[in-house]
Amino acid sequence: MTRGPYRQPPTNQPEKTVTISSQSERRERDPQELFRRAKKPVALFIDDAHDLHPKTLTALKRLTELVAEGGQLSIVLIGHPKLKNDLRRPKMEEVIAGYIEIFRNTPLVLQLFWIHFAIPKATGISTTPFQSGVIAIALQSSAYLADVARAGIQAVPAGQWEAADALGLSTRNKWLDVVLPQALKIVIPPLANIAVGYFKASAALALLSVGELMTVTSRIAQYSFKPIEAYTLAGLIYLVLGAILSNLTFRLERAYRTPGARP
Amino acid sequence: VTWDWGAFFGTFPDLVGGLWTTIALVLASLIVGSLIGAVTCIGRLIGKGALDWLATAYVNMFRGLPETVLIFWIYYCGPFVFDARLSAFSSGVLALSLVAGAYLGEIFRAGILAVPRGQREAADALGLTMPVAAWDVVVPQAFRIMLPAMFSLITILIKNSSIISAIGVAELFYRGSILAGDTFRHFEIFTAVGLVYFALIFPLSLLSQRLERHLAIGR
Repeated sequence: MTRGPYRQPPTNQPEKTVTISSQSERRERDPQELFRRAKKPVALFIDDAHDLHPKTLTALKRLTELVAEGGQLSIVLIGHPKLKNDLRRPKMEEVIAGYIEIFRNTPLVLQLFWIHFAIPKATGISTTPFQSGVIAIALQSSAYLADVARAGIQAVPAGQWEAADALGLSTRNKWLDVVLPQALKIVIPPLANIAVGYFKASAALALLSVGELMTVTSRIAQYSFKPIEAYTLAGLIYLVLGAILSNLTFRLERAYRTPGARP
Repeated sequence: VTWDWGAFFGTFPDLVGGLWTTIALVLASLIVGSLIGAVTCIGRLIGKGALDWLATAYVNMFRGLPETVLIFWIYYCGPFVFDARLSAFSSGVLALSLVAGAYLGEIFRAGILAVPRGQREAADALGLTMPVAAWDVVVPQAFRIMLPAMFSLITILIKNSSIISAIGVAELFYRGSILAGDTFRHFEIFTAVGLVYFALIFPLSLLSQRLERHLAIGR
């Protein structure tokens, strides 16, 4: 029997100055409420999901905006080699490449803490943990997405570009009607991979108590003294949701496959 | 913006110990993960029925579970479930190697399947026995094919090892955040930690890209 007394892991979060902004956050701080909720893990998950709903929507919106921006930038700046001559801006290209390499080659957790603790020191603008989480995921995923978008555009056969030029299509029509629809099809599988990957990676945001599934799980585990049930349930939720997500993306992939094309 | 170069440069000596812990974490989980990966790979390639099913279930499960959940599960639930208390370091290694094993199993399998069929048939024709054919003909060629994927897995492992700071293993990120909490020099210290991670990971991902391009030449 080696069930020794439990040593709490040292928390590495400096004290935060949190202004209680919403009703749900105020409820979270009430010990009685916490105890009541700790008894009902499932009810709490649903409750919390409900609380997060409007936030999730804004976060999603911001994420898509950022992703779209990243994609656009990559399209304009890195573009097709044939267009490089007229769109090439070496300085910007290097900046974008540096951004991509920096965000791909450092851990997400570090980026999260950098955004949450270092940016306020540098700029005076502070973000809530949730906002920091959204920004960190948006920044890292767009570094990957920019590369995916570039690869997708470059994978459109050169003949398509030449044909569009030969038909005298305007730049706008060439991009919107010829290149991008084909690139989008090519991009779906890696895009889906990244989406599932970040669904998994979001659990790491619990290190900052962002308030997602893993944060709530650790809180329940601590208050209810039932770590096995709480963590196992969380693992199951991640597994099931992840499986559903990859199944959906697989269907999307199949639905957009060109008939007769090589997979 | 107040940027203190002294704090920035003063951080690096304190991070050295953490760097070694991170490297030890990654190497240990790479070794254990390779063993698990070899077993799952053999299970999926040779095994039939229950063994194949088990290996597939293992791979799907540990590729779908977030590392954070695994680390917390092993550290907090492991003592109750298995009646054995692991240190924080070995819990972290175990969690990382379970995940790495699932990915490595798939990498090994893909590498072995990518070796042209003719090579195995030629080995058969020469009268080589199965173990000799596998070890001297298939594996060396498969190893070459799987190198880029293995290097990119190492970069993923280094990145994920920062999550182990959550259970109090004094690796790179943990040292950085403790230092930052003590000195309130978050900007300088986290930037320094980021630089160390970048210096560790960037060469590996460059190498992975180079190898991938190099291998694509023949095709």
